[in-house]
Amino acid sequence: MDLQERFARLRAEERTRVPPFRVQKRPKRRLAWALAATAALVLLILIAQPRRTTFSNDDRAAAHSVAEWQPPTEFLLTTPGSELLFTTPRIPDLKGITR
Amino acid sequence: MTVSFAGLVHGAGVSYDGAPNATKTRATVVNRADLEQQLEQLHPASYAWALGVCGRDPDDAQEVLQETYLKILDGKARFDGRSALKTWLFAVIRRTAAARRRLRWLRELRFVIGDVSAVPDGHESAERRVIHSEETSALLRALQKLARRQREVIELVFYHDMTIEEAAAVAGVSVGTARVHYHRAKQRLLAELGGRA
Amino acid sequence: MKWLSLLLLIVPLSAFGQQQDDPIGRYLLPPELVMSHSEQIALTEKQRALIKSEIQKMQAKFIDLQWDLQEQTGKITQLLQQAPADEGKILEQADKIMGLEREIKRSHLALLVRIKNALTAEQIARLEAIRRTK
Repeated sequence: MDLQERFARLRAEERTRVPPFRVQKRPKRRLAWALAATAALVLLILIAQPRRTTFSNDDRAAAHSVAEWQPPTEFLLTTPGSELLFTTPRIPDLKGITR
Repeated sequence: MTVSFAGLVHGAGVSYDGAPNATKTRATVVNRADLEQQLEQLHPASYAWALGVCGRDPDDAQEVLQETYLKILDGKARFDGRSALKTWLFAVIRRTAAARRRLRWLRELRFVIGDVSAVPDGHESAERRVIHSEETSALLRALQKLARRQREVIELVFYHDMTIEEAAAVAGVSVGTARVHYHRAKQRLLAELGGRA
Repeated sequence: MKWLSLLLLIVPLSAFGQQQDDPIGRYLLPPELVMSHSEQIALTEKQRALIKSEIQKMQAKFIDLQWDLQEQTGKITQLLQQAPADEGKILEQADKIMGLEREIKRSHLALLVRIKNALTAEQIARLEAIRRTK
């Protein structure tokens, strides 16, 4: 099953359980602003701490994908006999050489 | 004879481009009734998206959607017509869900004195929970393993049939960044599910 | 003596063969090699951040170019399916495709050069030694 089919199935399943449309006012929440500001400050300090940069799997995958990329026009460089240009003869092939 | 233009400026006129699919219309909605009608038309898609940004929790999704609708109908979020209505609405839903997550974090630190009446009605919640097939359960498990932005972009494209440009607008990122998220999400999903693109 | 002469002949030939395999790439280091051995070569935080940033920038560009490439490749396949094939249009389309391929290669090369420039001579030497053992 491809991704398109899987998502289509998910969509069909979830469409069976959509609640009715309604708009309902809810009571407002009060915030302890001073305490919320303190929490925000604590969070900022934590975020500002120097962190060690690590290489993620995404970074590795990115490097790998461009290294492995094959240009669509690569086939134009494959010519008959081209392997002779890029290999060296092995010792057994030099058997015929005499002094 | 006098001609009054008041009706044109302040009246109930809504301009559409005549397209049958209202979700793609760049409509200039000028009154609450029309807006509500538009929101109701988009409700099934909006609920599905709210589920997506709320970890598939139906109660959270309903809360987010309610908050979004109120924000829009009270004029706190205004549609300026620069994008399709659906794209704009989905962006508001996403931002509302993000704000709720931050509020929940603060609440968990007991810094918010608030109304905690949002206790899910277990019965209603159970009724709204979707029974998923094995294939979709596998898809949902794989989606959960993605980074949030990757998950959002891939869902917007595959589930909601948006273009990358629309998904970028909803997710609040550049098109280039959205492409990267899409590419990585697709690679990961295919690796997890072992399927075809 | 005959065998010694043969040996002297073969060694430069095989070196020539290796050069032929990767005449340009041998002077550059694959990012995967650098990332996998970041601890061994004691990459600094500054180096890590730079390499990560360059990889991410390159990937964004690579993905953009691939999207364009896919679009242009689609067009040339349409042209190639026509009978008779329009040589002029096909070559024109091929120029666009090869232009995009060139951009991808260029971005990749720029990444490799920037990564190499970010490393010290000792780090480069260490990585080359590691590469020779693979």
